Amino acid sequence: MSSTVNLVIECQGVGFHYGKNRALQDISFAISEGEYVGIVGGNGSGKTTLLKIILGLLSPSQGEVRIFGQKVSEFKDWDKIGYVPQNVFRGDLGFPATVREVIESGHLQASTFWCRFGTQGCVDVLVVAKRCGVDHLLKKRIGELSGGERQRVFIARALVSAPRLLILDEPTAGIDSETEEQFYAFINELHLSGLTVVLVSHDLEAVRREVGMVLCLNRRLVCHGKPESLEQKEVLEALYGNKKNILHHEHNDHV
Amino acid sequence: MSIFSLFQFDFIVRAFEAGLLLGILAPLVGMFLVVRHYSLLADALAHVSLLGVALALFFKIPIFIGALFTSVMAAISIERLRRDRRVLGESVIALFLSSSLALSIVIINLKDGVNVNLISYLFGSLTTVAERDVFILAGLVTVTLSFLLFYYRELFLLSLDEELAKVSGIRVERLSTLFMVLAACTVTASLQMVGVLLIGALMVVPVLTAMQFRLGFRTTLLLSVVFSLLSVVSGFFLAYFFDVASGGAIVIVAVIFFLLVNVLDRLKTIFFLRRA
Repeated sequence: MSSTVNLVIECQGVGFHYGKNRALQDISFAISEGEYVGIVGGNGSGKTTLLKIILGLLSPSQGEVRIFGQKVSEFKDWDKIGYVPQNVFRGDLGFPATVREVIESGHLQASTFWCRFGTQGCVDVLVVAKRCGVDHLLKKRIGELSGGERQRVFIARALVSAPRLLILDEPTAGIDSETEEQFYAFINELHLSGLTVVLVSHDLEAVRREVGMVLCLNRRLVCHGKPESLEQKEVLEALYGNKKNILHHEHNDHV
Repeated sequence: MSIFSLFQFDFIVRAFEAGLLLGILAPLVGMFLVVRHYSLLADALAHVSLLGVALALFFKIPIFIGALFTSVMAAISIERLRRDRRVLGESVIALFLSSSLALSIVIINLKDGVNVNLISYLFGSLTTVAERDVFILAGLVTVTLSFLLFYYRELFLLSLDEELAKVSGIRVERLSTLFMVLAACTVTASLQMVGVLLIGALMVVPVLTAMQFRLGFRTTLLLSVVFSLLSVVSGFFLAYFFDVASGGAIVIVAVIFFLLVNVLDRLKTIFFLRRA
């Protein structure tokens, strides 16, 4: 596969097996710089496995993944990628860390030796915190925050290294609808500022509404195209079998 | 006899120096063990070190070398087994703790005279510290501080979320193994002074005390060193004046600090609830 400069993620014939179980089969697609892509699929469709392969956490059984033109196994410039995992901060709520410390941890390539242990002045944590609306929480402990606030803190953490690609895994799981709306507005703002965004979600409604392109996954790539393809019966059947019904709400045209 | 007149004796000066170095070293390593849910690791490594002491006495090799070798090997093996997920979570630690103790007992039974020396390592004594031990501890404190200064953010992220650490480009397996080796060296170097049964407490209790203040990571780390030093100094003088084992006195003081902070925290909560 040729590596074009503006291609952020390239997957070519990617497959993965958990023991004898095939989790992914022959996945090929490319994501260009500035795109806002949603990866959707049901439980066990291989969304998280694909994400882990893209991030180099798992090695594919077949095929190849390139990030910013480089093989993922050889990729070193991790500051270019901001990642917000599913259920951010799965740790103990008593973990002794302030919001500032969590955001600072996103910048491992700090410029000077003292920055690595210092508290202020090296990384512009305050600017990122303000942008994410968590500047008033900087001195609070991470365990004291609500789910929505924690989500924003980890996005700020992902943004502090000024990445070119933001990957979000099920970012709205466990947060209320009002916070969810604010969250998507914020991600859209980031995308409009030029950031490439990959959103992994099982929420078809949100993905259809928010993203510019979708990758539909059910162990293999069901479709790669405009979010409107999620309204097609055959796509939904390939994704979920016959279990998913399409409901159109006439007042807002939501699926 | 006044407190200051104690310091006319060389062995007291050495013991005090070693105690202070240990007071700095133990919580620095212990903090990362506690936040990574590895609090019992120090105990397991101490028991493995005891096996190293028994083997060293059996084969007549230097005790420090025997203890260091076994504890470093155990630390690497524990980390590998934990990563392979072949043995569940903290049960890896239990496996090493009990099997090394069992082997130590068998070695004691096989050779007469080993037990007397071995038992002195169970409780330890600050007053038997040699000049060489102080140098080893000073070197270890320097290495640990340098390691923390260089890898502080990486270790913090590793403790916060291992997956995030990997995606940030940290070579998690290598850093984690390096830290485990450092923990093994700390345990071995502290063995003679605090003893197998109490080293874990010195590494963990001051950290738990500091965590009750609910502050940030850096402040908690520094506060745990303060509590550890206070425990070592107070325990040291109590041990001398009441003629009791120094390791026991130090850990008892550390536990008293923990209880004191815990009670004050609860009283503060009740007071604020009543005012609200």
